Amino acid sequence: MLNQERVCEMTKLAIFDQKEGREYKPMIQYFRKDYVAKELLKSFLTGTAAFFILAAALVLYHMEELMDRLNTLDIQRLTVRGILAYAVFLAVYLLITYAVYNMRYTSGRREVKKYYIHLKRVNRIYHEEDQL
Amino acid sequence: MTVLLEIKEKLKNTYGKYDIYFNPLFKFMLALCVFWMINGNIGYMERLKPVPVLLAMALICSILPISVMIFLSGVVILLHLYALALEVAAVALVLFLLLGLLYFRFAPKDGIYTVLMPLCLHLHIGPVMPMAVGLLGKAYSVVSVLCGTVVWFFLRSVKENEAAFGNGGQAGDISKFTMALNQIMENKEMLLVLAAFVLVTVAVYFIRNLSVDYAWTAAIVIGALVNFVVLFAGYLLLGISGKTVELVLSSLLSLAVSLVLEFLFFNVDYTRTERVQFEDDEYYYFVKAVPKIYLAQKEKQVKRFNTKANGRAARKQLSDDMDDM
Repeated sequence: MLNQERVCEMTKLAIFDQKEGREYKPMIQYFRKDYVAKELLKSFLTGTAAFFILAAALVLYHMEELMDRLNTLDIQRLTVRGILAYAVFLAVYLLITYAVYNMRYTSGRREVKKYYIHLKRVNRIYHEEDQL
Repeated sequence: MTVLLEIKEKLKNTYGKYDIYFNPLFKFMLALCVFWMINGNIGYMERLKPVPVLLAMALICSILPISVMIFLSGVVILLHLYALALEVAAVALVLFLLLGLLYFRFAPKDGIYTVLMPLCLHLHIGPVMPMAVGLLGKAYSVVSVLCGTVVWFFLRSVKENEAAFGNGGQAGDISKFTMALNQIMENKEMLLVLAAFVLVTVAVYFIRNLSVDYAWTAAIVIGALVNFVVLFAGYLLLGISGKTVELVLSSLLSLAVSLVLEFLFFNVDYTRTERVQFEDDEYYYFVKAVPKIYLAQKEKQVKRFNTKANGRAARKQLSDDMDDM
């Protein structure tokens, strides 16, 4: 006969697997440091791409002005300012990433703990059924 | 009110029972509206305009996740803008890439707000979205509302200046690119609306979280007022005229839609509020519990008089029932 309690617990596990499971999988696989580092690396790539797209768009936007002042431009100063802007942009972006994914890891671990509680219950029920 | 509550319960039950069919249907309708709106306003590529193409795209969106709808709408917009001018399509691509890389990497689920926002702005109920996000979502989701607003204003400006961007336009490649970027960077009305929407979301979010009676209703009314006052003052300062009637109507419409949202998602009975106080070793607890309005569906009893059954037995059943009454 079907054990109603076990079916309920297993349904909860299946719902978690299907919905939040995928999102919280990294919280099971990685330590906090590794998880945040992985996301920081991703953010470094996307942030760099975003910065260069933005910079290219701005250069095109001011192209006519740049062409007019091409001979008087201080390239060295402009490069230093560009690098500084990149550093500041990336620092802010990475800081936001760090804060967001740290919070996500904390809340994700909480959800995963709930998942383990249901898993333990299913295990216990299986043991009890075996003993019968 | 009771009738409305009964209808709401019925709707909830029906949706719960047939959600497997309703969800694709809703997605199909939303996708159809989005593509219809895009084609109707910036439909520069004729190949994308026939109804079968529209239906096919909506059908694809109905069975796939919502992110596919966002991606496909982006592609359709880019193709239409490409048919108008390559430079405009390039600016739109830059805009979409920036939105994707900087914001949707963190909150991919918020994409739905970005799709709904231009739709609401087009229907003159723009403030509904910041209010809905303040009521139902998290405060940071306002960024996705802002992304949708930027996209809508950009597309509207492109539509208004299509003659300048098109083949007949005299501007060179660089000028067209600058002109397209100007639609975003120098659009003061857009900046005003963005500021108003941020303020509306923040106001609604904080007020609805207050522990006061009728917090949601107060949040909606104050949100609508904030929207009206900020936009009205802004239009006066910027010297934009002819918007007052539209602003009043859109504020009233948004207020009505938000109140409907409140009825659907947050319906509590403040007259039966329970306030309890207790303590443990570490804390005093002041608990306020507000019951939800719940209406049990009336069970209709249908008595069957089975004509096929033995007449005597049926009569006996009837007499028993009459005795019970």
